[in-house]
Amino acid sequence: MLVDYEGHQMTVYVEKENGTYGPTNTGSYLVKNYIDDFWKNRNYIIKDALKQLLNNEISPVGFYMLILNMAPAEVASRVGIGTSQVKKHMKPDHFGKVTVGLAQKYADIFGIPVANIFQVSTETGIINQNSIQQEKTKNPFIVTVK
Amino acid sequence: MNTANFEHKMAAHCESGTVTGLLNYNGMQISEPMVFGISAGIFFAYLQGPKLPFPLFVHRSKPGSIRKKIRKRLDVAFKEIKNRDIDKATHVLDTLIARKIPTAVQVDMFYMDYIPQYMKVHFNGHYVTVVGKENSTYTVSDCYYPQLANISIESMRKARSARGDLAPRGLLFYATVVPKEVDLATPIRKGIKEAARNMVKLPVPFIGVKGIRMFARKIVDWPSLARNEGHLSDQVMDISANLEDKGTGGAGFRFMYASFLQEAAKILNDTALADMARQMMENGDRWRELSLHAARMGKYHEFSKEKFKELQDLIFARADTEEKLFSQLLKMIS
Repeated sequence: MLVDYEGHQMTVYVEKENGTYGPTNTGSYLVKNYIDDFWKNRNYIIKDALKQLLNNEISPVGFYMLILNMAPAEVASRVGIGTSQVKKHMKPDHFGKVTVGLAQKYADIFGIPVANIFQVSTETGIINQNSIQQEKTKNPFIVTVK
Repeated sequence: MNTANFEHKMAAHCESGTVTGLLNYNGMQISEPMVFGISAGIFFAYLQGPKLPFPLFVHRSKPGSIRKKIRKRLDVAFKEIKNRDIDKATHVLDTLIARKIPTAVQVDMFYMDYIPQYMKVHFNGHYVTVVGKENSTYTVSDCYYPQLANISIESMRKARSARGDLAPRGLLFYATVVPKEVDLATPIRKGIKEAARNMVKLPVPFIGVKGIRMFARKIVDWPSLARNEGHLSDQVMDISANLEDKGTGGAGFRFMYASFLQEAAKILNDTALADMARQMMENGDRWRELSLHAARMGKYHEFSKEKFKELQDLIFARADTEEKLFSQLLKMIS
């Protein structure tokens, strides 16, 4: 079950040659062939969420929540607003009520620049995973794009 | 730059690894499994509710409890400072780093810059040790990362001031009094007793062995809870990731606990305990088989009723074995 996998090293406790149990830093067969492989190719979740977003079935807040697998209650407690408000903001009709300041808070939770609340990549849904590069500036509302 | 001459080591579990790192740095020679075992880190709970997007299970004690139990059972003193004001919390951290004191901080794992994008999840109960600071970056020792890593000041501020469940609230701690020699016999007994009680004696339906059985009973309903097949495969794969990958040392900490029992058997000079260690290692192997079964189901989208039934049987078998093992441990210790 232990394999050489440079990309994802972990500590596993195994039986050593002298019969004692101890730690070894190694790669895992399960992680290499199943878990990492799976997360890297998890496109169908993003594709499904993107389809809903482009069809105006969910708002950008709902889109990123689907991708990150977050519940409304968790997002609400992290942003500091009520759960019912987050549920409203997940719907396109109510998303327009979100202020720029609140959009910034949402963006921080989703780990994206606030600009990405209003734009997506049609290939992967997430902007910074393809050739477009964004860089932060001192202004929290602005990113430069290359 | 590592200003504190802190030796970075990978570890199976972030909290026990961080506490072990601080104790070793201050002169106490103790292994990670010993810290994990003494603080009764092994656990099981099946959780579901409105705050969770999907049911999940945990196999570790509550974040923070390892530090608290070690403080109590090994007579170690940690200076702990919590500060909701992130400016003040950052100032305290910077002062300690300037004094070359390796300082552990509680963080939201999502903001750790060095973690690959696809692995980023919000989890407030992660611990790292800050060992240096240079210009706009901190040098941190994260037990899940092979080398010392860098993280920007901005990310560290976000990670320490994250809100939500188990919010860090700027918590940092460092060791102030660490005895060089300590008698481990009593702490070991206390640790085993507490862990075994948690696993077999608590009258709560979702904790310990009862929790494993609840997990087995509920798993067959998972297809009806998922939005679609993609979502279901995510969640089934998460069983495997939880057991194998998320800092467990393989098999949901069972291998590490076996290592602890073996060390404990030597210290207590108890051959029966050494035999329990061997049985725990075998139990770990079976958890890993379960993990592989779930991974196959998730990757190849094998979601027939039969497959879920097979998975259920594997989980029930773990509950039976662990009930026997922890009951025996409880008898041996008390």
